[in-house]
Amino acid sequence: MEALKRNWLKFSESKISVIGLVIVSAFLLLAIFGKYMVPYPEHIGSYVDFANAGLAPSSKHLCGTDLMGRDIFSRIIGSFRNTLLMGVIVLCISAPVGFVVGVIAGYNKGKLIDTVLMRITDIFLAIPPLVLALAIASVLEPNLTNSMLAITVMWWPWYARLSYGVTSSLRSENYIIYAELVGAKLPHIIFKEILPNCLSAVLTKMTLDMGYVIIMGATLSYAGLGEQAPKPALGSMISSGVKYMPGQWWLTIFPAIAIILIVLGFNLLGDGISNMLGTEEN
Amino acid sequence: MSKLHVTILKRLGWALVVLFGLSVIIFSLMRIIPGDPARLALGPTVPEEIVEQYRERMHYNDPLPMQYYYWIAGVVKGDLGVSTVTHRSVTKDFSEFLPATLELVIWAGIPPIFFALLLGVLGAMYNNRWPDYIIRFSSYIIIATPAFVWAVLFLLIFGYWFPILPSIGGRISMGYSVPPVTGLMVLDALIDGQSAAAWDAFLHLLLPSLALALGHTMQEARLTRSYMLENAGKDYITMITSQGVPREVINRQFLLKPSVIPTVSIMGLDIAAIFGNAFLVETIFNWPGISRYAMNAILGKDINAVCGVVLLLGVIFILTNLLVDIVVIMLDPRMRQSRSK
Amino acid sequence: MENMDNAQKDTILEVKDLTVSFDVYGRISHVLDGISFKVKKGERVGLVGESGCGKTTTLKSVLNVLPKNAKINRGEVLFEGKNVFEMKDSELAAMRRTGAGMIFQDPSSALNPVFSIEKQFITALKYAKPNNTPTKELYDIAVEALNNVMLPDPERIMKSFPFQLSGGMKQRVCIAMTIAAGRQLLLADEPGTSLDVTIQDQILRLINKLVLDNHLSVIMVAHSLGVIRESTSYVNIMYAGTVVESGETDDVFQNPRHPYTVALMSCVPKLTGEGIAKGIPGRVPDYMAPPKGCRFSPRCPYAKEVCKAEKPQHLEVSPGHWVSCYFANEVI
Repeated sequence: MEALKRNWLKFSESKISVIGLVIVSAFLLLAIFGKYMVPYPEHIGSYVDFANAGLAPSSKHLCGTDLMGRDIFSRIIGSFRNTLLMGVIVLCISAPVGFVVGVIAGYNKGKLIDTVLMRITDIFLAIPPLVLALAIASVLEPNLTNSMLAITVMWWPWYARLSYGVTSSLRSENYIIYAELVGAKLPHIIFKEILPNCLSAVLTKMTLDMGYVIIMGATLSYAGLGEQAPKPALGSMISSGVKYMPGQWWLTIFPAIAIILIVLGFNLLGDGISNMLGTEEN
Repeated sequence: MSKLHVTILKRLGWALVVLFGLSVIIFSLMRIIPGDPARLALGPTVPEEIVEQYRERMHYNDPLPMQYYYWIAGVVKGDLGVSTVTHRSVTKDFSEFLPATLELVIWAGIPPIFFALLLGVLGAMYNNRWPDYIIRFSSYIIIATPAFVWAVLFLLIFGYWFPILPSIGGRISMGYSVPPVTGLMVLDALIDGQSAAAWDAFLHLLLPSLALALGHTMQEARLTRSYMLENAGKDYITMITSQGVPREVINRQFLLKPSVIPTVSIMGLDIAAIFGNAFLVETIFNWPGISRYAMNAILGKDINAVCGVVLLLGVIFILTNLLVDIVVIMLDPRMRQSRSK
Repeated sequence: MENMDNAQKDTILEVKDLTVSFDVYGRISHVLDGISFKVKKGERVGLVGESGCGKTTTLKSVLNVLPKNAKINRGEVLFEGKNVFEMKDSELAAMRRTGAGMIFQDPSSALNPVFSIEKQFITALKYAKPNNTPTKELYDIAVEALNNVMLPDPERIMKSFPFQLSGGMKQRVCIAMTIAAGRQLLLADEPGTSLDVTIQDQILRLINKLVLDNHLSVIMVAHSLGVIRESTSYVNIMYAGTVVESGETDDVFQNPRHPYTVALMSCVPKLTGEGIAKGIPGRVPDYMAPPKGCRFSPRCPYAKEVCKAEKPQHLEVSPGHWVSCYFANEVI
């Protein structure tokens, strides 16, 4: 409890990370319950009302309506769930995969398996991630799942690097060697000794990465390789609005602001958390 | 041979290994596409015997390692297959579209580094005073904005609302004719002595390269600032201060260099991000480069072109990383030691 | 009156009631609380205390190179009669260049990792020596200084980068850089602690030799009493940011009067003694909320109410022997 309070003090030291926390909390709430809170829930999907198409922002439609007559505000909120899923699923797959690869390589430092695994990791790191993600997404059916897959393929190597670094330095620590000497089983060493030491670094990186993953997801979606119409996605909403600039500027501006705010929130939160954990070490 | 040479040779060897890995990944990519590659290439109307002949000619009936061999042998000779969209050899398409992308990436990648360092140093010098606050606040917003959103915003602002800068007119205005020498428009215009054309080409470059540059510039500025502040508290700065060396000399030499090295060493990643983002930015600004070409190939399922572009960009990326590594080795004496212990 | 003037002329450094605090993430850490001591010309003065009792902060105050989050709350540091906190930039620079210099605890962090020794040494000398001294001459001075600290092949050392040198070599380079400019006062901050024991011994011998050969004044900081006894003539015992006892080294070692000093002495295993040393129970207080009275009172076996209520004064208990304790006469 005392530690929690101290961490909160350190975290809230910078007002800006508290702003991040507020944005992220609001985003999470809207991602989960947004469907029931928006003014026009039926507009999140295929819905047509040409009588109200292309309306400028007003008190009735805060962000205007699109060319099908759907309320843009509702659709933006409606897209949050997939945006969140994109980040969470990509990171929750790539972090454990990367962790396992990194730990196996780091634990066997200097052996053949270390060289092979880390060289493969390095090869993945040596390709521009967005380029390969675009290519992978393009040879597969364009949809949300495949765009997540494409980003995951490019993301795990970072976690492999991170946990490799921690593991290989722990490998020579006495307490790990003693654990081995007294006959501790490998799973015990990995989960009880190494994992707790990697955890704070991995979790910090995950919050810091969240914004980047969301940017990449939005980029794929803008290219038409993410969630398909009529379901809303921030990237595809922007790309379909570009053709109607500048007349119907609200088609692009509001989804763009939504992306910026979400990413900003996660970046601020991530910075706050890494500062908090960073000063903890000193 | 000096240690420096050995290190650089080692990096070169490593680049070759990565190149091989990259080619394997791309080859697998070409083969995991659902459907028969021969049928995809020829279209549904061509009779089965011709497809079979094509299959035989392209070695599609051979075991995979042999297929890889034939493919890579072709690639080394510059044969990346034929684009199913343009119906020309992919290599030929490259020679047409690559220079425009290179010019864009160079402008987006290199000059902003100096702004980034400048902003980083300013932020550190005025730590927790208003110049620092402004730089930090704007960097948060700028970094959170994806490159394609910048492109769209610029298009809206400068293309429609305040049309003071060219935004969708390609690389240069109509009426100029610049003979290609290097393929880089501004440079070619200068070589030809057409300063007005060079200025016009530069203006065309401004918005797309800015859209690509903003994010990484602010990221580098933030890194430089935080390394400067971190290093300012190190013993070696206290030591040289206590020796009576003036503050400006310390900041300019003894603090700047160690703080810049980590920023420079991650620049390879920034180059990767620029190449990735160029796909959408070129499409948005109608920039006749390889990324827009690849974007069309991706949407048109033109697999030879897609794989060719990934391979090409991979090679460029590996080469720039090699260059960044060499710069870091030059800057940082610690890196000159052989890494394997 | 004349005696006073002489005493002043004799004093190279005087620290008066120095009180320094640090801002640590918005909380104030009161590290130094009224430190006072003097260093006479050619005198070798020791500062002893546990790790984290403010010794390094004291030394950094002398050169006015405290980190940005430090604040001087009270007191002054007079170098040759001038307060370093009020010096003009040019005076401060002159003091650092030829007046006093510091040898850091950890030589591997005291040298810039990305510049050669030559670059660092020559730059430092360039400002310490008269304007327009030719670089060749500076180079010769540096090589000679490296020679004087018993480094073999100084020309090769000059070309090296810090990571190519061992810890002991780096510390010798730092010592050479501090001595070469002709500084009068040496601030040695546990100059061997981060090195292994034999090297540590060599470094201390080297410093002692250089101090005696060049008639320098020195403040030797250590947490090892053996080092202090060997290399100083006057000692200040520090506890948690206060000087608790000071006097001639031999006097303090033979007749310790402050309970902390007594405890400290009994921590040293004596070759002739009872074997295992006693530790001091408890630990250094939290600087965020230090005890109101004597800072040692929470750990002191003799502490009474008065110790907790008010800080004791530093009083002369016998000629030249000063103690901050209400019960200095009762402690044996």
